[in-house]
Amino acid sequence: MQEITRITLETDMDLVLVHKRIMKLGELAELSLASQTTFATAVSEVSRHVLEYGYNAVLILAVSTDIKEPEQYLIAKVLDGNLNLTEKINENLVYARRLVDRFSLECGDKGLEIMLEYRIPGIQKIHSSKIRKWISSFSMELPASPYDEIKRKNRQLQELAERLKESETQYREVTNALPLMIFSVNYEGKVIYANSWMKSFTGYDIQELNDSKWRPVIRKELFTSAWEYWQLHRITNRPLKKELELKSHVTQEYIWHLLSLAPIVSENGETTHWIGSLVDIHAQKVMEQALRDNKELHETKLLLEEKIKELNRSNQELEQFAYAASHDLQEPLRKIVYYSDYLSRYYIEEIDEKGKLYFNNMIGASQRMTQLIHDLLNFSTIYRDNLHLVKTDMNALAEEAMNDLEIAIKAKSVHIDVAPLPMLSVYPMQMRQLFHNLLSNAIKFSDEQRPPEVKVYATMEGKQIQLIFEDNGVGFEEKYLDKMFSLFQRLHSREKYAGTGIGLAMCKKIADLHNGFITASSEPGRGAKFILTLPLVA
Amino acid sequence: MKNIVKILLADDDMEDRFIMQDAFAAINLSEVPLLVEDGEKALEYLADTHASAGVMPSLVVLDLNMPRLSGTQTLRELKSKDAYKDIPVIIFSSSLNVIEMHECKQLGALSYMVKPFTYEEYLLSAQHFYDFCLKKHSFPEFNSLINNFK
Repeated sequence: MQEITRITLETDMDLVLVHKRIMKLGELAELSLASQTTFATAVSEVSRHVLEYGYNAVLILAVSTDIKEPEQYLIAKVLDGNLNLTEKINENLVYARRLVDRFSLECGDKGLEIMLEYRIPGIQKIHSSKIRKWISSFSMELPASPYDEIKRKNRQLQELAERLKESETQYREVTNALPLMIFSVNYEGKVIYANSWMKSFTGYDIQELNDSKWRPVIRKELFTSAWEYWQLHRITNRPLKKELELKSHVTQEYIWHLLSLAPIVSENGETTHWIGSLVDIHAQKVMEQALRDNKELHETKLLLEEKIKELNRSNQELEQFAYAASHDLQEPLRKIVYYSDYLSRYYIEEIDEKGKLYFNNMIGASQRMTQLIHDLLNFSTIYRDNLHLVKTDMNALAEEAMNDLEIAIKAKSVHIDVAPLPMLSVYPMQMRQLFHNLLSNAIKFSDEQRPPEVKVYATMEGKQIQLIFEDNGVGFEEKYLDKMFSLFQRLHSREKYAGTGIGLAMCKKIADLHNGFITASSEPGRGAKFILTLPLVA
Repeated sequence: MKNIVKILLADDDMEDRFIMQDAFAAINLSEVPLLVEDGEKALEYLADTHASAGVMPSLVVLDLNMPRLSGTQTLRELKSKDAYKDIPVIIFSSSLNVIEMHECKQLGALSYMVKPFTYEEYLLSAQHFYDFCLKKHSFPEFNSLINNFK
């Protein structure tokens, strides 16, 4: 069926309208005046009953369009929301039933549906174009009465409101579904409206955000400046774009957002409020930061490399200087030693006792200085240039060092126990020097209380090997550990133990040279343990 | 017999020359050493002696650090001349490093000696130089010296 028009049934006045409309429809369908009246009377009766007992009733006027049916009918369909209406009106519709060609009454979920049909005479089918004309003639129809006019306007308004509501709902749904904050704020910066994402992200509703002035979601240190910025900006009446961090209530992390605000200006030129958005730009910011960091890192690396180069250069210069200086210092010293040796040999009897003492002191001093320069010269020649790693038997190195120290070992009756040591890739001459220095120290600092014993052994520590030199000598206090390995640092007076303070510094330098390190542990009177750790080189 | 052995010593240090002369004198060999003050003088002496068909030295002892012509430069010059390239050369220095040792060895020096610290040692050195000329003493070769170098 094709609807032509509809009339809501609200007051008695509507019954007049019903009658008029049906008469008109009948006329359009070329029914005789009698037929028009008959149909109108039947529908009016139904309408009257529905109006009396029903609820939210509406009358739909239509024309049947089923092409299979040989005949066409005018249809009047009354819908009513009152489910209990049936019993009350059933008896009262006897008259109406008789007046129309077909009558049906059905009760559905939504309510009552009464259909009255009146056959259109003639064999000519009513074309759809004709039906369209009928529809428009009803919608264009001049109001039948002031009541009709009001009713019609009212209906139009309601329709508009409906459409507006629908459109707004749609808009709201769309904005709420977006993962960005859309909102409006007034001059004070108070949020007037916001889509649901604002609460989803911050965890606070508009009221809470306005009350707290956004304090819980803005970084503490930027809170004051952010609001000052707004106060300065709002008088300009210009759009605003600013990047800021907002705390996500889900992750409790600060996420970078782009704030965009634009003033809404009324007809008289005043800014009524501002509308804006907050968009998550965190990924972009993180990317920017990563790029910046990368650049800084690269610059720092270059700077560092430059510094290392400088350091190496200055180190090398220092070594060359030490070598040249000790070489040149040695020359006049050799003369002092030579002449004092000569004088003591041939003229010592010609000077008195005090002179002899002083003379011997002078010889001692010049000999110490000779040793010092000799050690310094050795120390300054330890650098990686022109050196090659050689797979070397550590036991052989220990043997050689012990041979060099044979006199001292015999003099103090030192027992040295060297466990089987591995073959290692080392700089042999330097490593022999290290063995020599450590063994020499162990002998030198032996304790008179007990027969001196020295143990040399190796242990594996992951990918490193440790060579350990353990003695039962006088030991040292561990607070001097750092000092001990520095150049010219001595823990004992010269009277007690001779030495230049270079031996352990040299060991440290040799350990460094092998990319290893040396340390020691001890307690005074309990012996000392020197530990050389070397990386395993294939 | 003694008089035909000559040892040419080049050293810029006057005291060292004096000490050396003294040491040779102490062992009654004061005619043996020919002391010159640098490399140039040493080469000049060799050239003159060669030209006048005099007695060429049996041994040349060179200090390393000398002005104008250093020990190694003198050594290079000396070994490039057929007339004296067969004269043995001993480097006599207060100290030297492995690189200098390798250089001297490569240039054809026979051996190297560290200058002594005592009078006794000087006497011994003088005696060794002389004995070497009479083939009664031999100096350690460079290879073993380099290996012993610490």
